[in-house]
Amino acid sequence: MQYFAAHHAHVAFVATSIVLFVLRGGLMLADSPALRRPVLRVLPHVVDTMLLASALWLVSVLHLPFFQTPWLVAKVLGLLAYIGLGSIALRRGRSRQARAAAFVLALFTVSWIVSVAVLHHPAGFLGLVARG
Amino acid sequence: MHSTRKLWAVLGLTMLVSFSILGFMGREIYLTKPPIPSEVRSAAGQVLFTGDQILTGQQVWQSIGGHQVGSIWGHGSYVAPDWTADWLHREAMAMLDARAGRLGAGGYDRLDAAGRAALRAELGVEMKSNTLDPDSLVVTVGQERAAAIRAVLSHYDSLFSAAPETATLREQYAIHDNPVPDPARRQALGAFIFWSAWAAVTNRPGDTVTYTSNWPAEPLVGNSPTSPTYMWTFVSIFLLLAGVGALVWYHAAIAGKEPAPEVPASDPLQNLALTPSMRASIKFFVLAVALFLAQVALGGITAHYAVEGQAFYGIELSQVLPYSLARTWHTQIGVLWIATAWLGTGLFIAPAVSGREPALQRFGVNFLFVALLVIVVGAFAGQWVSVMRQSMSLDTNFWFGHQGWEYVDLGRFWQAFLFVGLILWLVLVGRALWPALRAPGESRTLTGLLFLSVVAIGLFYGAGLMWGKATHLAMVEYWRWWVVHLWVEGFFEVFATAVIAFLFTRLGLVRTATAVSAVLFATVIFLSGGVLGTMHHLYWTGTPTAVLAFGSVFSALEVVPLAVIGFEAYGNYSHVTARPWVARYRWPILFFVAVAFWNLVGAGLFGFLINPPLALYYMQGLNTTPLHGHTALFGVYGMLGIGLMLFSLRLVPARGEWDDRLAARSFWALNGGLGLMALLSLAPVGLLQVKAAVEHGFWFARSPEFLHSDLIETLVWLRVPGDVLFALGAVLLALFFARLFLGRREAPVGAPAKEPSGA
Repeated sequence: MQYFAAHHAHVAFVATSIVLFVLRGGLMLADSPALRRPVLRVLPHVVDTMLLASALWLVSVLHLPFFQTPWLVAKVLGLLAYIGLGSIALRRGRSRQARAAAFVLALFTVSWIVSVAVLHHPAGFLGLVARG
Repeated sequence: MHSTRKLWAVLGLTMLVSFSILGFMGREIYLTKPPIPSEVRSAAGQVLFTGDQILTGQQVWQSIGGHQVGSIWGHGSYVAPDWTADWLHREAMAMLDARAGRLGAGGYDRLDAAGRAALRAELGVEMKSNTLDPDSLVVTVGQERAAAIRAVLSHYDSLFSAAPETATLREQYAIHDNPVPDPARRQALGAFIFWSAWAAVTNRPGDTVTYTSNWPAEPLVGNSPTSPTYMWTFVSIFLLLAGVGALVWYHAAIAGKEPAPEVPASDPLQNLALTPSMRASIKFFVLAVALFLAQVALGGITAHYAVEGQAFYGIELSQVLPYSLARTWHTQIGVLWIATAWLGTGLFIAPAVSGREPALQRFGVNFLFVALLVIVVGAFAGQWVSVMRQSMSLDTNFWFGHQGWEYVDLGRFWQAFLFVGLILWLVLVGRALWPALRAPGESRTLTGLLFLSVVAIGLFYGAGLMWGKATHLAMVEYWRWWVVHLWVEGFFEVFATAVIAFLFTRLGLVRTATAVSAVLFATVIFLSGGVLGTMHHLYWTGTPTAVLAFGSVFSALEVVPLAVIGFEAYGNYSHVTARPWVARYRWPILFFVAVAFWNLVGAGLFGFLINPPLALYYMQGLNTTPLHGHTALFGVYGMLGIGLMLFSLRLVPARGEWDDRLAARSFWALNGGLGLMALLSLAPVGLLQVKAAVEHGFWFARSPEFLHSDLIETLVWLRVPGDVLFALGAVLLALFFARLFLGRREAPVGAPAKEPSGA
């Protein structure tokens, strides 16, 4: 029962987080001042914190040993890349082109993370090139 | 242009035929690889090993560093034993001693020569006969052999634990204490090593040759070179001489026929405008030099472990950085820094060639740089955890830890990441070169050839993704050499030839038409030997005899162009004095001359020394291999990397001073150090090992009795002068970079260079 709750919460926060990221990316591309509205500055951090909490909850419910679970390691590494790319896309990128490229790469990364989670395989959809 | 088109056709046909044969042989290797038994049983029906244990054992071996701790089937590192040969010898000795005991002799060594010969003959017949049941895949061994196997297994169990009775041996083998804490993993590791030895001593069904073509040499069981091993050796030497003769004839026929180019009066690249992405790619050079220094330091540590197995001048270094990790990183960084230097050069010259800076190019360059850093740090951290902690599951180890395959040791995740990075590099260089590739004219062919070698370097790394976590050893070796050999002895050679010719045409020192046909011709020659030459690494890895035939013949042809490379070296050297302004490029050009020199000595001579089947039968996995490895990998590609970086940096108006004197000292220290390392230490140790292998069997050449004898230890110490000189060269190079980037501002940009020094 607890697993279903944790899993459900995790997936819901993932979806919300991605929607918010896409929204902010779109606003960034449109050079919209809406990007700086307080709700869009605070809400993502709240959602991402809940997302992280739900992930830890899920891992503890499942008793997943981190170093024995390759796909989990892959997800965490992917997450680090996603955070880096996301911060270039929304904040650090020096030119608009660079921000746009980082945004596209971040979307690619996050869809890969989702595929790793769904397939429970460390290569995710890249399994086509990387055998294991 | 007509002959160019013909050469392109020949090149295409050569590639098609070569890769068809290489692919076909891959299928043959797959079909005839040594089977993995479902069970190994004693005659009384007790199970000694299961097939699962053997495959798990392979993964355990990978997780402790695999090829970086001793070797299997001759592939790996040289301080710990070749486990295949070591197991085989121990198992044979245990049986001989037991039988001599039954005869009342108290031990095999106590028997007279006739008695020993009789026991050996009997043992050879028993161990070579193939008892694998083709349906159930069960191998059955006699009770006496089962007892011998158990005895060797318990020795290995002790060796890979922290047991005090094997502590001395671990120290001599340069293995840290308790490398495999889990007893079940140690049993599996033993199963895998047993299987590698079983394949080396068991005849193929219905044949008189073992799965590994009788490798390793072991007089106790009658393992000696097969007749194809002799025959193809003679054929390969014959073909080498024929090829050299033909190529000399060709050079004599064309020499002096081409008109010399009109060298421009001033440097055509003097006023090159730097684009943002070109500036961004300079940091690749800084990273390359930093990695080079790290590689040299790790090399010193690795070499030292050959005399002091767990410590570095008394410091217990093996508790944080044991031999296996030092060597992993030493070999890995070697490839990485050279690749970084080339990647940087590609990114730097591409916009310069086309005169166009594509959109987002600088972002791409910076992104690639960060990705490379992440790969290096992430992959190395995973390898450290794998070897030192043994806390990962074997699956996690495959993805993020240590794969244990020499030169492709990165975890699969990092490997895939690196592959993506190489593809990104292709895209970045390709889009910057695109206008130049489309512009009509002679130089298009040269740019195209350069770009093709870049494409091949990127794509062929993909062969390293062809195996999985529990793929058969023979198949992993097949695909691993696709990467290592086809890179190093195929596309890197093409890249080296094309890029040097390309730079010379840009400077106006060589006519484009001449360069185009010379480079195309060289490419055809390199790749016609190089692609099928891959198989010379696979003689003893559980492959059929046809591999020996193809490998020996085509790898002899690989040496042909290297034997006459002096023509190219002399041509390059003579450019230095073509016009006064060329002196600006004196040291990059001299590094290119060094590339040719080491291509002849390191790749050609030391390569061919270990190349023919009969030579490699005894020399596989001895110091003759690092002799070739150091002089060819650093000598050719390392020197090329440095030359390319210096050339690129010559085009950059730097903050500091371009110090020709420092470049000269670095050049001579690196070359002299490499030469001393080869001649004072690696060559004599290697040749003494060969003698030992021929006289006593392969195991002896890698045994502690031999490697820790006074003579060999003295020769290992003789590495010090060469290694120190070499390290000094690396430090001077770093100093050169530091002066260039940090030092005082040079005289106005474009001013004549300082008087060149040294030479």
